[in-house]
Amino acid sequence: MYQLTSGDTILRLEDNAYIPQAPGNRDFRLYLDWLEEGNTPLPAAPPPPPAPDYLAFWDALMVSTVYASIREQSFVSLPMNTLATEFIALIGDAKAGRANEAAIQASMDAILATGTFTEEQLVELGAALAAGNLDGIYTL
Amino acid sequence: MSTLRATNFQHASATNPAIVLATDGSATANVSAINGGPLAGFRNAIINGNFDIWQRGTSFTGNEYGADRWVNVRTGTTCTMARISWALGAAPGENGAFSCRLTVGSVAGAGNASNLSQRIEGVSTFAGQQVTISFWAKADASKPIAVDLQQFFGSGGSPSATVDGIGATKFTISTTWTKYTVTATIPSVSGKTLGSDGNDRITLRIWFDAGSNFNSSTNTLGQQSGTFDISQVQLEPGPVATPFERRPIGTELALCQRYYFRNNNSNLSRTRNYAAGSADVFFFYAWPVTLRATPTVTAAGDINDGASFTTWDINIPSKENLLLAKSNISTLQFVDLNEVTASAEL
Repeated sequence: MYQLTSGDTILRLEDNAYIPQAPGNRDFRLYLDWLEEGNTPLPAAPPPPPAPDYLAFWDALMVSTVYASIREQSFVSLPMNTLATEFIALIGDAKAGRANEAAIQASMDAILATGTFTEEQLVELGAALAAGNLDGIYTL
Repeated sequence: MSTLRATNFQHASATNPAIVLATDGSATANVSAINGGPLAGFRNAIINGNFDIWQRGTSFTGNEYGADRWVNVRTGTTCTMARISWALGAAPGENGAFSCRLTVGSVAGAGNASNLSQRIEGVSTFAGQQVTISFWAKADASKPIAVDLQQFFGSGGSPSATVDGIGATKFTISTTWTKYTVTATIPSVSGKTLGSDGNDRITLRIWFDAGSNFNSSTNTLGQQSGTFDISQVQLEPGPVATPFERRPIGTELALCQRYYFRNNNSNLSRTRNYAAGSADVFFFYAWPVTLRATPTVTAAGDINDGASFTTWDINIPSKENLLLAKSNISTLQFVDLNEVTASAEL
């Protein structure tokens, strides 16, 4: 069985061999023979989901009003200040390739439960998560 | 000082002259060896005729390439191709280290067969010439085998028809290692048409089991089971079997690698994503020799020493090199390339 790829090669599924569409290639001729027998290759696999990009998330968060709100609330609330500091540290680790997803989710939940945010600010936070391909990982 | 004038020099018991003198002052000689060795380098058109190189492994049961450049051709009938190792000085022939064993389980059927084949690039090879095939062989009992050559003009376009059964010869081999010789004349290719795919070739076939469909290629070998050992195969121009040509092992390996290459030494290369954010991680791998054709490629890797994977987001092979990429690698993650193979076989 064969599968098309997003490139110019054909994937032979029995051994994950990539076969070029080159007439002089023996395996490509066998593939053409297989097609002539009436067979059809599987379509190309969809591209893999984008990887988490914590830097993009952080960049989007920094310019949002929700970040400004957390910052302002941290001036007057020690709990919010502590939670925000913890969150910044967790995102710093994530940007370095060591994301602790459970801890980040818990930190984000605590910030949202402790502080006061408008509906628009929550939408902006969701958009920042989406910018970092994190909207499938974290919930608000 | 005097001049000996003659036309030919021939042994009293021989049927043909060893030296034929021409009127222009030149001579044609059938010389079997120089100082007991080969006449000159690269007389043998067979690659890995000594079965020294087994990049793919050492035992094969499918209708597939096994020992480098050798195909375990079987239809219906079963056949296992395996490497046999020899102690120093114990090998058959002229100081080999390995031989090839074919264990054949015949299955009755006109279209069923088993042979050991080598496909030699270029249908013009030895065209219009007399050639000599020689090899060492033995079997588990006294049994017939057959040898022939085939001219294949390629695929694509409108190539000339394949010519089978060139020099088809059946003979009996014994249970002790013996050198066998077959002489054949390969037809001219003048006026023939090549296919457009660039895969024309001649093929040497050593037959062990052959249904009646293959009578013309095997001189009616017939069907049989058995264990057959083959060593030091040579196909050379001329009517004489010269001593087996021993090429440097590095040269022989390079000749094999034009058609198949494997490197599985683990951690061939490691690339880490130092970018801020996820990125594609690329590998560029140059083959040790230019391949015959754009190859079929397999490649194995892992992410951060995790589970092995064999699918890639970018895989672009060429005759000279390979470009691979794995997508969505997070910051500071690394990807190892652990094994690559490239097949450009005929």
